[in-house]
Amino acid sequence: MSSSDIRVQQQAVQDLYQQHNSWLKGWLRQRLDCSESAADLAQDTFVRLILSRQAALLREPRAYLSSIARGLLVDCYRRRALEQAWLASLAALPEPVEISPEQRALILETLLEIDTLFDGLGERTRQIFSMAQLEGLSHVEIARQLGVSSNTVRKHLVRALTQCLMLMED
Amino acid sequence: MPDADGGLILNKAQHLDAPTLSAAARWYVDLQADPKCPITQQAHRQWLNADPRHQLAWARLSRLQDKFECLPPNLVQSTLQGAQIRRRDMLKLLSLTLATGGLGLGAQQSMPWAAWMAEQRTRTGERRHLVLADGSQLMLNTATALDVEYRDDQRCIHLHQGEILVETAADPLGRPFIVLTPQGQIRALGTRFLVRLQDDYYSRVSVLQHAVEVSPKYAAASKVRVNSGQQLRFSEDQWQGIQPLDEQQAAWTQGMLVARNQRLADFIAELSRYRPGQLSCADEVANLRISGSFALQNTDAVLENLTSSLAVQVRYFTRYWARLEAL
Repeated sequence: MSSSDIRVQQQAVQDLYQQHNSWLKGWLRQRLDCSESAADLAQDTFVRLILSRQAALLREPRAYLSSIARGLLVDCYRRRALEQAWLASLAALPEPVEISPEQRALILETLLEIDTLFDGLGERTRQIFSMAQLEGLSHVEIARQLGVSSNTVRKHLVRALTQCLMLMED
Repeated sequence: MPDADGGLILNKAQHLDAPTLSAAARWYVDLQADPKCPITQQAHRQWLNADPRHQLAWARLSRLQDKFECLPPNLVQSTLQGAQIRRRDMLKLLSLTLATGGLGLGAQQSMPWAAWMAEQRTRTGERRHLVLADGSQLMLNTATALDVEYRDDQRCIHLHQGEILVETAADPLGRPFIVLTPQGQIRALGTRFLVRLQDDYYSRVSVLQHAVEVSPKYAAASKVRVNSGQQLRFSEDQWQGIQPLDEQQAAWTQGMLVARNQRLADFIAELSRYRPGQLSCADEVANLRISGSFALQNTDAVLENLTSSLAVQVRYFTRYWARLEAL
């Protein structure tokens, strides 16, 4: 990118920010509970826009901004859903468990990652993968419980693992 | 390719492709099925040594495995499953909200996510009355957005935009009633007050009955009590002096806009809150004075009315862009 290109990009981002930032915040606020996270997500949206280097090319800036923002919102929902489910699981344990805030943060981060990796896997694949990786059941046991062949279990596992690996970064 | 230290360096062009990753997954699954089989182990070692990318893929798999191992097994399954169900519900609710532009109060009470999802909104020119679960009442003025969050320990209204009239009801649970604005919090000590957000920087509270206690966001320790017949404007770090209540402020709750010897420019600024599009006033007529009561229902009629009482005319550039000018 030449320096004049960079200037054009910067100017475009600046213009878009001025024209659409409050609109974007309002758009997000309608879908979130607090205006602070709306402001945060609006900032993140513009960061993504800058990284995409598309700012100068946009014909429908609001459509583009809201499509970025929608993705960020879905992430946000994912996090909340997970946190809620985590609390519910904790509450359902017969004995209270001591988990430090650091541990909790680490566990939730990891769960979030796994939850993301699971996206797009079918129900059956997800179930078999969980049984093998999270519950530590043998393939034979899974096959018996679900009434399928060991080979089917193997196929689902390979598919699930491949998807996870493809989504991971080095 | 091995580097000077004998480690592996791959350039970006050699990124791990799907067949490589899939092969790694197959080895993993086969070893898991039968960890002690010498033939599988031997074949796996050969595969690893055949290509540095195989080793990278395998390293990625180990990292994935590490992730699973650091999790408490008794909580993971139920959390992931619970999260999936919750997310599905949320996304459903989201598409509903997108389609209808908001949820009614009835829906809010029956849906668990409503506490943070279901925003109450009015369009420009719209007014709406809400009765909350405990019998407290809200009136939303034009272009207002808020969330209602009733928790075990408090009743909370998050006001994001616009203006509301609050009439609190006594709570059998004794929970405090709080209005949160971007600038701070207003705690009801009585029954009836107005809260308005102004220019992104200020909240204004006007007390019609009893009292409220205001704490700016970044000066929460400096609480100030505002009594009946008083109003207070505050920013996020300080409050401005308490003033006597300007009684026309509440006229909107009756669908009226009241002016007493008001500058035309100020009156037009008020009126424009209730009217979609642009409404402005030329400098040469800005300082004309106006008095009267005007029905907010029809802002065109209000403008019309102005032209008959003052030496002004309305110029429409488009239907949504009007300007008052000298005759």
